[in-house]
Amino acid sequence: MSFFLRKLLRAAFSILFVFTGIFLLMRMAGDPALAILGPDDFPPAVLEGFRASYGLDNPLHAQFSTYVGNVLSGDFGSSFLDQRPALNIVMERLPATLALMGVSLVIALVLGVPAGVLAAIRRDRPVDVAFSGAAIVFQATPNFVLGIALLLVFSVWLRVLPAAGAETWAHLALPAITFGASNAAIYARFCRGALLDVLGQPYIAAARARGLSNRVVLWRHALPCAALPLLTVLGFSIGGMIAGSIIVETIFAWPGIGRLTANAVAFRDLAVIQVIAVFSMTAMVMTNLAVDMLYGVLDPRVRVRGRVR
Amino acid sequence: MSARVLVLRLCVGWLILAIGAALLVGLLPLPDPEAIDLRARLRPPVFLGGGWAHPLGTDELGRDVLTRTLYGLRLSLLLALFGTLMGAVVGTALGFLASHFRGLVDDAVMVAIDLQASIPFFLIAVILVAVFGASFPLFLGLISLFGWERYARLARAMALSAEAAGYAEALRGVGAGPGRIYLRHILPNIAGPLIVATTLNFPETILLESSMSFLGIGVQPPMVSLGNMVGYGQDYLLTAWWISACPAAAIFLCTVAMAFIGDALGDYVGEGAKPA
Repeated sequence: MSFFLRKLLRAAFSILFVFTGIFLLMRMAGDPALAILGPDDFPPAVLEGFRASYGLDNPLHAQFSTYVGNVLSGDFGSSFLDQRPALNIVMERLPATLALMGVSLVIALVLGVPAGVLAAIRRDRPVDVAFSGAAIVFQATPNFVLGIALLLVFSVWLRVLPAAGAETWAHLALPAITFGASNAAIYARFCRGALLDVLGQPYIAAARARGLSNRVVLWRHALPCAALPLLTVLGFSIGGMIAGSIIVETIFAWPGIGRLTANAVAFRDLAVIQVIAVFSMTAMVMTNLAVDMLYGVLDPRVRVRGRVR
Repeated sequence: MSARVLVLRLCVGWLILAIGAALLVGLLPLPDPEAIDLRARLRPPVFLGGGWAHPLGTDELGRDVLTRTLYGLRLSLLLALFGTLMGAVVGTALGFLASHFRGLVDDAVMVAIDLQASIPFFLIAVILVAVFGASFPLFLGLISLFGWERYARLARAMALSAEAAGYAEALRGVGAGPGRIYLRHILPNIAGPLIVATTLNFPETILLESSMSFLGIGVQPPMVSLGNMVGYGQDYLLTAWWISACPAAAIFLCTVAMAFIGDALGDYVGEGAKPA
């Protein structure tokens, strides 16, 4: 089987698995008839009628195919809180989350990649020790601790940046720095490791032996190869940001999907949670698939022996 | 002494201090963590003009922040220890099953590992809490499952190579059963990397626990954890920032210290330069 087909099948299987898992979870959450109508106010006949009208008395596999059909046509049911379609509620929040993730990603790449490269080519010098140490610190700091610290310093004490909301671009600064710093740390550590791996390869020694300058060796021979594994981290950090946005958006009252998730969990708004679960997990599977595919395109060796780790 | 060694010593020293304080908190001459004193609420720490009766100030109900931080630290460390050990047991067991039975079992475990590795555990935890409601048993279950895929991947790979190493075959030759081979012979042989994995997992478990508690879906009041203290203290950032800042600093110092120690251990065992 070809590399791409195998990856595609695996992604399809993962998505099917996720759908099934979410469907079963929602059924395990309790009898929807009881949840919506209330436990004791209705005679059994009414409950039966309710179940029949929603297809809840059908066998599980029939319910599942209806469910998949509904999901594919964008029908996720309505929010318990304000009765609007859950899909619309989530979609309204998507731009805010994408803006936050996009800006954070730019911060992370701009800070993290050069820091990692510099640390690798100055290995064990003061620059390396300082940057690697800082990267460990920022990677180990929980998002909510960094967020609260930034809030305290820049909004409460210095009063230079707004603490909560999304009225202006300045509101984006603190949440984006919170995300950006922790992701920059991940990129820096990974870039350093990847570049050191490459610099230890025989072909680098060969390039040096041919009399090429350090600059040429670095830019033409080492960096392109070290950049490839960065794709893996990119996929990884996007998943991390989707999960982390629940915390960061809550701290800064950023009106994105993360804060919506925290709210929906607090009120157990299952229809909204379901949309978020389906979308975020599908997004992660797709990100992984894209990373795998890109790998296959950029590095032919991978097509034969699987992803390099 | 290089800067690295100095940092490492500070980290170890801090952890010993923190673990010691968390263990001995019941014996220290401190106020009760639940003792409410409404006349002394929102008192600042001693370095900002507060009294020595409450060295790190008090919260909105007049409870002592230092005492609560220490009790929170104790619960957070205990939960992380429990979670790390349970995750190691579950993951290693799955890895061994995959390596022993091969075939379909192995495929199923590998698919589950890959899926788990591609979806952040925190997201799964939040969704499960939304579906089943926040409860302590569910929370404990989530904490103890966390990180299983890391151990499973490691245990499977190393058990497979141990199987090929010959001593497993020799044991089978003298009639040892799989339980004996895996638990008495393979496990001790692969324990080193598994222990390094637990040092990586421990701070991440603290992170998961405190993040969930911060959101209000982990440790519930009246129990105190560092995460839920930071969470309710957030409402008082303008007037009494120390309620949040003290437990936040405790989490920060612990996870950073563990990260430095884990990094050094990783270099020592030869697994370094591989974050995440």
